[in-house]
This record gives sequence, C-alpha cells and structure tokens, in this order.
Amino acid sequence: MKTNRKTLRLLTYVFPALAVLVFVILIPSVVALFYGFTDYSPGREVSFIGLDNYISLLTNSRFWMAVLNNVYYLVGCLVAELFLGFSCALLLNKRFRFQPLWFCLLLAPYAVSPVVAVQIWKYLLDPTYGWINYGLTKLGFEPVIWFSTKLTSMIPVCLVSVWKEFPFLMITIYAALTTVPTEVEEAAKIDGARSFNYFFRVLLPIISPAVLVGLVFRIIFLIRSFEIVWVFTGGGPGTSTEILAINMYKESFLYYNFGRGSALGWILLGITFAASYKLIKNANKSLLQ
Amino acid sequence: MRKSLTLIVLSLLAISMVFASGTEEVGNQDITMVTQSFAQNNITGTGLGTGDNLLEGMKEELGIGLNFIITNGTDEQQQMLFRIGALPETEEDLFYILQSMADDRIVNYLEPLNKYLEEKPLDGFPEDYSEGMLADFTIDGNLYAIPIRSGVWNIWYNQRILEERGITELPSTPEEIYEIAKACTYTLPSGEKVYGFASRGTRWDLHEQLAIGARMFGGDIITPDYEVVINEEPVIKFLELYRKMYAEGLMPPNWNNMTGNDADQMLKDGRAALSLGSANYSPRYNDPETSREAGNILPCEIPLAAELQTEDKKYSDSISFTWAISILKGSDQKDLAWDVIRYLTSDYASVELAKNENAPARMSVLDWQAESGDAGALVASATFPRTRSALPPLENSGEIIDIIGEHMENVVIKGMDAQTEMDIAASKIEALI
Repeated sequence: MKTNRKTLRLLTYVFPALAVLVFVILIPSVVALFYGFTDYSPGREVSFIGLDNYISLLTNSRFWMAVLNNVYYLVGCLVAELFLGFSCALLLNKRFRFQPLWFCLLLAPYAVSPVVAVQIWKYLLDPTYGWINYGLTKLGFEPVIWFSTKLTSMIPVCLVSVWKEFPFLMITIYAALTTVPTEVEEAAKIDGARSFNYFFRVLLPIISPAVLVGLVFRIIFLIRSFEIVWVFTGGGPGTSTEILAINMYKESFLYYNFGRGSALGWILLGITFAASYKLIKNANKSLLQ
Repeated sequence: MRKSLTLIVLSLLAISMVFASGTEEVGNQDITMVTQSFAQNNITGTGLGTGDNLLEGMKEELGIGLNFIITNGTDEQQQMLFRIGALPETEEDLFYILQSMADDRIVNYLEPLNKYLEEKPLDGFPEDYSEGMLADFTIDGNLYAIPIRSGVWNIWYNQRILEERGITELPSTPEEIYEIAKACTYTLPSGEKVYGFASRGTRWDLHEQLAIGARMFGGDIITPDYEVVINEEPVIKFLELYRKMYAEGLMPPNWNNMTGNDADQMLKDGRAALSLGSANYSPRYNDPETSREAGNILPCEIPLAAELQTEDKKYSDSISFTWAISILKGSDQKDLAWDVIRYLTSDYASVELAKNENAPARMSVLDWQAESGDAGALVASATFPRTRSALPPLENSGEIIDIIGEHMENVVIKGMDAQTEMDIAASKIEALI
C-alpha cells in the first residue's frame, strides 16, 4: 500500500513533463507514422497506400544522394569538432593567464543563432568583398568560387557548422577533464608514463563516458541538421548539399507530400537510432563500470 | 493523496491556460488579413510610399480596422492557406493568393465571390481587369479572388555605367544582353568588380528567369495548355547563353545564392550594370537615401530573338505575376471582408496603393502611372497585353519549381550539358502533371 502511494506520488511529479512529451512527441510521432502509410496532401482525399512511400523513397536515387551527403557532412563535422573540442579542452585545462576570458571567447560561437552565423559567413565568403577570398588572393592563391561544386559547397557548410558547434564537445570534454584528480597524473608520471601514453592509456579511458555522450548528442544533432545548410545553400547547387532533413522539409512543406515527408521522418529516426545505439550502449557500459 | 490530486489539477489547469491563451477574441469590426510585408507597406504607405495610409480611410469610411498576419515568403503563404483554409472557423478573414497557388484545391479554402460581386459590385469590374488575370482565379465559373497587385518583369540598367563603357543602344536581341554585359564587366580602381549582369538566383527564383529566357527565344517551360516544352530549343539556347555569361564572369559567382535584395543592392551600389526586376521597382532603385545610383537606373523591355521579331512585335512576352485578394471559407465576417476588398480595389484606393509602390492590377491605374511619366509603368503597359505568368497553375508547383532550379543550376553553375539536363527535367515534370 505504501509502495503504491509512493509510486503514485512519483508519477504525479513526472506527470507534467510526461504530458508535454505525450502532446509534443508521442502523438505527433504516431500521427506521422500513420501519415507515412498514406498519400496525404492538403486539399486532397487521403488514401491508404501501405508501404508505397517507403518503397518509393528507398528506391529513389535522390534519397541515397541525400544519405551520402549526410555522411559527408556528419563525418567532416564530427572529426573536426572532436579534434578542435579536444585540443581546446586540453588547453583550457591548463592554468594560464586570462584563462576564463579565453574560455568565454571560445564558447561565444555556440551562443550565436545558426541563421546569424550563416549570414556572417556569407559575407566573409562573398566573392566580391569577402575577407576569405581577399586573404587567399593576398597570399597568392586564386579566389575560390564558393558554392559552385559539391566540394566548394560542402566545405563552407561544414566550416560554419564546426565553428559554431565545436564548443559543445569542448565544454563536455573540459568538464570531464576537471573531474580527473591531479593524483592520477602524478601517479602516472611517477610510474614513468610519457605524455602520449598518459593521454591514451590513462586519461582517455577515464573521460571516455563523457566523450561518448557528447558524441552521441553531436551525431543526433548532425543527422537532423537543417538550418545551417538550408540558409547557406538550400541544398544546392543542384542537389550537392541536399541532406536528409532538407529532403524531408521539401517533401513536406514545399511539395506538400505529407505522406512521403512523414515516411522520411521515420526513416530519419531509424537512421539516428541505428547510428547512436551502439554509442549509447557503450556509454552506459562505461558509466556503469 | 490529496496533495497528489491537487498537483494533477494544477497541472491540468496550467496546460489548459496555455491552450486557452491562443484563442483571444477579435473585435467584430476588425478584419484580419494574411499577407506579406509588401501588402502591409502598400496599404499603410510605409517605406517609399507617397500615398495615403488606407487604414485611416477604411476606419473613417467603413468603421473597419484591419489587422495583418505577415508571412515570410510565398512558400509560407501557401502553407498558411493549407493550414487555415481547411478550418471550418478562422479568425483570419482575407488572404493574399498568388496565381501559382490557384489550383483547383482553392475551392475548398476560399469563398466564391460571384454572389458578392452581384450584390455590391467593385469599381471598374470587370472591364478594368485583364481577362487572363481573372481567368487564373476562376474555377468552374466561380471567381475566388480579385487581382490587386500585378506586375511584369523587365530589364533594369544603369545608364551611367552603360554610357561610361560606350554603350549607346539598349539590347534588342538576347545576344546583345551578353555583349552589353561583357562590355560592362570591369574592375574599379578600388579592386571592386562591377558585373555586367546580376539577378536574383535562389532556387525559388530560377523558374522565372528560365521562363523569361525561353520567351526571349520564342519558347516556354510549360505552355498554358500544360505541354512540357522545357527541353526544346529556345530553353537550350537561353541556358547556353546564360552559362556563357556565368562562366566568363559576367555574373557574380554566387549568383545562385543571391536573393532579390542582394541583386537590388548591387544595382543600387553601382556594382551591376543590368538586372531583372518588376516594372514597379523604380522607387526602390532610385531612392536618393538608399541608392548610390539614384536617377541612373532605368527600365527597358526584354528583347526578342532577331528571327522572331516582326513589325508588330519587337520585344519578348516576359513574365507577369498577380496577387489577388480572397475571403477565407472559415471567416465569420465575410460581408465585412468583402467591404474591405471593395474599398482596397476602389478607384481612389487603387491609385493610393500604386503611389505606395503597389504594381497595379487595374489597367486604368497603370495607364495613369504611365501618363505620370513612370518609366516602369510605360514598359509594363506595353508588355501587359501579351504577357503571362512563368508557369500555369500547377498542383505540384513547389516540386516542379525545385526540379527546374536543380537542373538549371547544373547547367549554369556546374557546366553540365543543357539538353541532357532539360531532358531529365522534362521527364520528371511530365510525371508530376
């Protein structure tokens, strides 16, 4: 009886949060799942079409092109963010002058709205008066015609994403580093461990749960990325930078194929789940250990 | 237990308050219009407008206030139509609709206006409106919207740059656009480049440019009777010319990222010699407060290929656009909404809207503008009798516009073969019509 009361009280506490989640996530997801099996388009009668949306998407070259673009974008951003995030976190973990100021400066891009960040970089990359091409020509290079090929479109898109988002991994890793007792480093040094060995054999295993959690979040965010690419290129030129979230947005809100858009949403969810499952499992395992 | 119940009740109360806050009552004499910022500027006379604020007259004469819900672009306006049009009851009453949105689905969302036209006719209706324009919004004999803003596209050129580069004559063939653009592409002593031709180029603008280009060579993208002709010779000729201009650096390399504002700014800064724009853009280009080239930017008609020119026809058909004002089916103030439409399309208000930078949909207002010496209006009135919109009303217009943009970018920016790309585009479009 006592246990029941306790359970009821606990449920009461989580009820508001659960109610919100049910309204804004569960119900829309179930509705989207249903729409995914229909040809729903505004102003037209809805018919149940089974798996047609999923089959047509999975057999469409445009979808696979978007998957491939997503892979380029994810790998390019994640590697750079991890490298930058780690480097900056390790630096910030040392004591030096104006360390809090540097911390704030490195964190600043994270506070900038994605659309504002893109606008700033659009000016920097402008072929006529942009600083990037100006700097390249001053260094004796040919100016780059940004957004004219897949490569010259993907580079700035990834660049802005990394510039804006690497502080997330930096702060996650930095927080983990601050929890490592100084005695660990001292003990490793006494045992004769060099910096390289200390980093890979001692420090990394200690902070790996935090790094894995950070990576899981970044993978999820990068797979469902939309704003930066959309505002920068709209998916172009051609379909050079069209990633899955842009594909989904176009299907739903520009082509008004809500059925296909919903199916794509569920495929995107599946990909996110598959990509992050292993990492989440490993992170949980490390945390339990 | 009591505590738990109290918490649940409080939570439910909080949630219901959140939802309840969105259903505030609008006063009976207030009409709500869903539109874009240009319409708000035209009606209120803000921005570069020199006409009256029509809200004041409407309040005084009809006792009706007008609220605006502003959307950020045509795609958002279309989404709003689907969202609020489907509701049996809405707080919104009036809706601005573009001709490309007017497929047969609008019968589910908009009120037929024939009954209102009979009971309380409009000034100058129908004789002062183009038949084609009204036909765009007519389905099964019912008119669903009244045209209120309509314009044609033409070339805008910087007279100073052309004179300085030794150009004495305006383009009379598409090839001459290339020649002039080439002569007007140069680098200033400051190192800044002036481009011969700069026009908006985002994905959602490209079909308009392709239609303008195709019509210069006597072709089209999709004919009014829905024949897909995007892979025919006129389109290919235009794309090859455009690719040449882009590859030779006569157009900005970031053309496909340039919005209308970007292109306008280049023209106003003296960094572009030629551009494409609506015939009513003269005030924005020649405003001394915002343009370094005020007084130098002038309109001219879009040329036609030499072999197609006749005594009666020297210029291209160009493209037009028409925004019309409609009443939502779910509005519970339809009669008041009609009174607002009557007021905004009246003889007096039509002229005041035109003074506030609205491209007039009524022929008499366009004639009045042309007689007043508005160079853009002169071009518009000459083009109006033969022009039409870039695409006919299409159910899948969003997807078709995206397909056109994708393959046009492949040709112009990536240098892919024009015929191959347009054949692919044609087969994709045919599957959607």
